[in-house]
Amino acid sequence: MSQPRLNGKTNSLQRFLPGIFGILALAVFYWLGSVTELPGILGNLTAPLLWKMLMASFWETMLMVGISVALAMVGGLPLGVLLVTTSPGNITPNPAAYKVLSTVVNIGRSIPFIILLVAIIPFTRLIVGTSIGTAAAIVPLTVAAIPFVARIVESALRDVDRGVVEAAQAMGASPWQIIIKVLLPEALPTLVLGVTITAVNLIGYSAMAGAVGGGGLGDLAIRYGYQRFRGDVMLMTVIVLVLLVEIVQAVGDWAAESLNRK
Amino acid sequence: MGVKRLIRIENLSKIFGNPVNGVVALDNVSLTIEKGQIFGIIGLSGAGKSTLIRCINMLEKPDTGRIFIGSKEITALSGSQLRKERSKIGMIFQHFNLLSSRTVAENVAFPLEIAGVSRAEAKDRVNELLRLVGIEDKADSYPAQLSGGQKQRVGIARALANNPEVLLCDEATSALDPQTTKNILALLQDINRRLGLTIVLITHEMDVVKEICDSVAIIDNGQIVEKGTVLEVFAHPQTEAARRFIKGVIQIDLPEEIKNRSLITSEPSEKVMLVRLSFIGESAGEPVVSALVRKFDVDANILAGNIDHIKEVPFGTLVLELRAKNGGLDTALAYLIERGIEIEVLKDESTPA
Repeated sequence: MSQPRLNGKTNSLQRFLPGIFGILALAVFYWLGSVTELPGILGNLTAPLLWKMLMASFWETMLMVGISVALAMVGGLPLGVLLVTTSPGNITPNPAAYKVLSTVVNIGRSIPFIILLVAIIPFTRLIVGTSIGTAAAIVPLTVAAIPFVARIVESALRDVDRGVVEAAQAMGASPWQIIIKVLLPEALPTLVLGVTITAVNLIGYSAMAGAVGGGGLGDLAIRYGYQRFRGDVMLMTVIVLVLLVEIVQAVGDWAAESLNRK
Repeated sequence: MGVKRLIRIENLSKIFGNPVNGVVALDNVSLTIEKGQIFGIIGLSGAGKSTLIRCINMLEKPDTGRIFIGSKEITALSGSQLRKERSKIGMIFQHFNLLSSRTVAENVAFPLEIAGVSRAEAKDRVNELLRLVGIEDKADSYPAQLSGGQKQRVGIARALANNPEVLLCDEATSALDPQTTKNILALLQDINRRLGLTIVLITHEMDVVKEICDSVAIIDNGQIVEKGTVLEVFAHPQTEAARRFIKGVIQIDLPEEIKNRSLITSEPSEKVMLVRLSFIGESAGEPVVSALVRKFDVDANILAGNIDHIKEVPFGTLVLELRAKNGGLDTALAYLIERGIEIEVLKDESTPA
């Protein structure tokens, strides 16, 4: 392997340090909470009951974000691909379709999440049967993330060298072959980073889902930390969220880096 | 000689932007390219050469005009028919355009995948192609790990995968250093000879044309201003555009001091003349200067000259000051013309001493 790649590896190790630190810190907190009761504020922060609630909320957040990201990819990926291929001068130009898609995506992206959350409650009920709880929060999270993912995918695919697409066209590749064999594989590292950004964003959004009783870390922070004036709960929730974001980002960076052949 | 026309371009025009004040890239271009030739299209940037070569595989759609490859009219095809035809036209690019996410072997296999060749068959073909272009040891490397010359070799292997009839080279050596350019050109020539593949290349470097092309067309402002065999164009450039390109490769301008040289005669019956002789082919190998001296009693003073080779044919110019008494010069010049040497009299006004 050539020299620049080795350098790249050192840089990425530095980039992953916060993530590694995050995982270690989470493990230490978890261990402290389960085996001991420490005195003073430290005791409060590591009390077993708080930890039980934190862990339950943590997994709810993971579930909400994980499923939403997965569903948003399923919906947003094809949209993003179409946004690229139908644009003027691209492989299947269709100005009308492009305009419609682009407008719909922009409308989706311009609605504040907290409004969207409330506005689509009837739709949420239709799909999951209820508008309260973790499952119900997944619906607005997904709906909000689809247009976001579409734009992320669009920008990742637009970064693919035009010349490479042209080379494939010159070889007689069909639009479908170009999408599957050129655009998506060439954009893969950027797409992985895009999924990471989406996941981090949804972790933030999922905290707002607490406002409709969606569960998760945000819910915990609002109901216990804010409404019951428990500063220690608020603090721990924020710490766990910070660590979670660090870990997701580090894993995403690592995956993108190891897929990158450039 | 059954010379076969492979590519026929008829009245091709293309305007970018709106028809009234857009940029005219191609203006009624017609060309024929024979099978097995290496055909060069040379022009400055913006002359339309890139648009022209991209029309041949319809990466660019011409506004009017037709292109035939063999008996098929490419410009009449679309959709899957066009894609099928394209798979028989190889193309290489200035910036190589390799897939960065695929290894060298996977890049070369790419056109085979598109054409639906089975995996096992593709594997053998890839190995064969990598051997042909001399990079079999790089099969598992990624493009980012290769040098420019190696990348272009991958590009060539990829372009040849489906046994095309034509290879289009879009400024294929313009991003390479002079030594690598020579190597890649040698490879293209080798492929042309071994496979009988017709090669169309566009370039802005006359060196490239001189090195490997059989025929050349000069494009300027979207029009073909001159075309012919490379030797013809080098020997008898008809247009300013052609002369401009040739100048870069062969010295055809005279230094000022030779142009301003005064021709001094020592007695009234003596004549002095400054002439430029152009040789092509066999006459370049003949001892004409010594013949002048021996047969016609002419004094010849060589002031400038060069001999070059174009496709193994010697080609050269010689600037001489000729001096003879009693009309000896006229018979000497007649002799040169008879030998097939082109004569340009640069100056014949002599000054008495």
